[in-house]
Amino acid sequence: MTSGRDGRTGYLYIAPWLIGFLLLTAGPMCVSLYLSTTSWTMLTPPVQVGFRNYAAILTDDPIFTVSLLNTLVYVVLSVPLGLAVALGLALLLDQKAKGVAIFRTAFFLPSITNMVAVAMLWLWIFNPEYGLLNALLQHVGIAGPLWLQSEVWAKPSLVLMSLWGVGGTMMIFLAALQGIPQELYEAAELDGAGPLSRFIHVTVPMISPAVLFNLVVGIIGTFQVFTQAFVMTGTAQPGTEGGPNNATLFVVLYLYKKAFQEFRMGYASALAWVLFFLILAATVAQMRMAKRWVHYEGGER
Amino acid sequence: MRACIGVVILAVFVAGCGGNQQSAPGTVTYNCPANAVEVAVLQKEIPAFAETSGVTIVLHPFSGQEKLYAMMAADKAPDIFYTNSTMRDELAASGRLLDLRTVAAHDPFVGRLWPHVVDGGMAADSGWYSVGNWEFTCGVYYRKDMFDAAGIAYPDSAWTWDEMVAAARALTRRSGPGGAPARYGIYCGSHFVEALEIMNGSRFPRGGTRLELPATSREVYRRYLDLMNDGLMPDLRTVQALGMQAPQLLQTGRVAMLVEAVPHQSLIEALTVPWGVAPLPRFPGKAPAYFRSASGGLSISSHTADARASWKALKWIIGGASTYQPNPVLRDVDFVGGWESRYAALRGSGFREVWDLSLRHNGGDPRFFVRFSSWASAPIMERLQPLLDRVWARELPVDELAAHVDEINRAARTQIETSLRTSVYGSSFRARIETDLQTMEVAPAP
Repeated sequence: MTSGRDGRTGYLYIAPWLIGFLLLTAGPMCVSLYLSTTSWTMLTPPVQVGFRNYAAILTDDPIFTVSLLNTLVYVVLSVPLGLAVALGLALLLDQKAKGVAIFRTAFFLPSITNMVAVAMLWLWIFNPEYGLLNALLQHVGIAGPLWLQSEVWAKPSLVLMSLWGVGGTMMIFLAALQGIPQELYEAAELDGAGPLSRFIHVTVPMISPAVLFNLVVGIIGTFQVFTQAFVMTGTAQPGTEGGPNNATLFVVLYLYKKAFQEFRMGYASALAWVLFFLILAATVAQMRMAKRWVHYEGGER
Repeated sequence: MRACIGVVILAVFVAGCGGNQQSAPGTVTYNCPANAVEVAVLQKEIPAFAETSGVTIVLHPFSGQEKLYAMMAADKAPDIFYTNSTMRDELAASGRLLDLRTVAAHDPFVGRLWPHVVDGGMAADSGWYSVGNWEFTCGVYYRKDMFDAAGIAYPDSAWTWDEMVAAARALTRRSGPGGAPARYGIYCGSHFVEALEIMNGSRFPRGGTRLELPATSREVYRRYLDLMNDGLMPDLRTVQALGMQAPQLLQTGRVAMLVEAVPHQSLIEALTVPWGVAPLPRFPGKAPAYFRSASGGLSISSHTADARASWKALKWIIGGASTYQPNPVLRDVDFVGGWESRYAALRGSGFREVWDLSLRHNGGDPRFFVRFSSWASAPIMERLQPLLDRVWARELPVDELAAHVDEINRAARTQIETSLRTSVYGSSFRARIETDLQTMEVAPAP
């Protein structure tokens, strides 16, 4: 049992985080919850409107529907692809080859690069005339598309770009792969399991907690996609972010426009809470489904 | 231990509470553009202004509209800041702007301003809330060397759309891979299409609450799209994707003509090739109405501690600070002469003709983000912009765009009604919005 003195010392140690959490996270969340039930332009005092903002978002805002669909498409495309690429890289880097540490660093570095800088780099890569991607495609006789300026290709472009940041996910997979006891592979090999069979029946179950973690964190992160769409699609004219034809208008970008271009803070706060509940629902659903496929050490599912 | 925690919390709380930034009498804060050169020049000249006027200006470079609004919400707005027509009415209606008539009555400075500049700062309640701090028109910049090589006469001040198309056709070079144009005749960004609309007779009342898309505008859209369909102008999406700025297009010879702002400082400074500038082309049988923008300006916060000092500072910024001189909003300065002496390339370029024509036939600023009132702009633009994206991508016929007009106006009407219910606007503004609503004849929802 912890003594009173130890308890107080513990609280003192966590006080900086606790104060930061209360003032900078919990406080703003409570204010935003209150604001979501008001109409507030920042210029005059907020006016109570009850749940009208929520009703408008859910029943009378076709642009929100578009932004939600865009976000869902982005989540569905980028999360599985990101997990697959990260796992593939982790498997490649889980070798005892010479210089592997350099490759690990090289693949991890992009994930800690500032997103705005990354976006500027990818603007060049996606440049239809002298960009890297279309130049490569031209070598194999394919005329590349307009990428970010094409309604069809804009979202896939951003999905492709999201792969740039799989370094963090890859590191978690790598740690999980290195934690798999070698004896399991040896036993499987004795039973006649080939490489693919060992991967499916040993590797995947053993790293399933890491897969779950990356899946949950990935879905939370991609639901909140913003920076790349904001930086890369509003280059023609301010206010045109999310184009062409709203193809890259994601929920958080829409929220930003409502809050900081139209200054409809109440509506934007309600959008934030709708998004929060969507992410919560997605996370709860994943945790429930995880019981069926995630294996923990000790046999517990 | 409890005391320690208390001290930490108190320290954080105190650190979070900034002091009141309301300026003292005689000191004025100016939310100036965040341009290092402008800031440096202003900083250098402010002491001399303070000596003669007794007013000290403190510069707060602009750091985003969000921060400006947050400062206003906290009653800590700078004394002078930039407002555009889209935000000005809303700020005025919310009591955030000083009605300049209270400080400018009988001031001879008002007589120095062009009447349309004063008019442009009036809001829906007939109050005067901003003074235009700069003006520009637009024209067609062209490469003289390319005209010479093609044996075409330079455009004159009365040239027509058809003549412009003929010139563009003669200047287009289809020597790229697969017969693609290596050089296009012309480029006009979609944000200048509105300037062509008023040349074709479309008229838009300032501060409108509904989207209008008259036949004259639709005709211009079709003609504009034909430039792309005929391969005389690059696809808008390609230019946007290339990320090329206007000066590069003309300088590198990718286009022979370019519709752009006049004057355009970076364009003038970047061009090293022989060039000229012509007015926008006319449409047959239509009276010329040239684009001229005085849509944005400087406003004074209603919370200013010293309104007279703020007015003095505002006058100096517009009419005294060297970085903004000669200022085109002033009628008693030789704006063209001043620019010609700064940039020799302007002499004989057509700049004077373009400028004088826009003064004589001032069509105002018809741009979408200018012509709608504060209360209608957002709901109209968020629905219109995606449709325009499709029109310019040649995926949505112009007539189908026109079919969306009622639906867009219905959305605008709904939002205006919501704003009226939930916002605290001044009574004169409220009355004006209610009148606008009554006159909005929108077809009922299907």
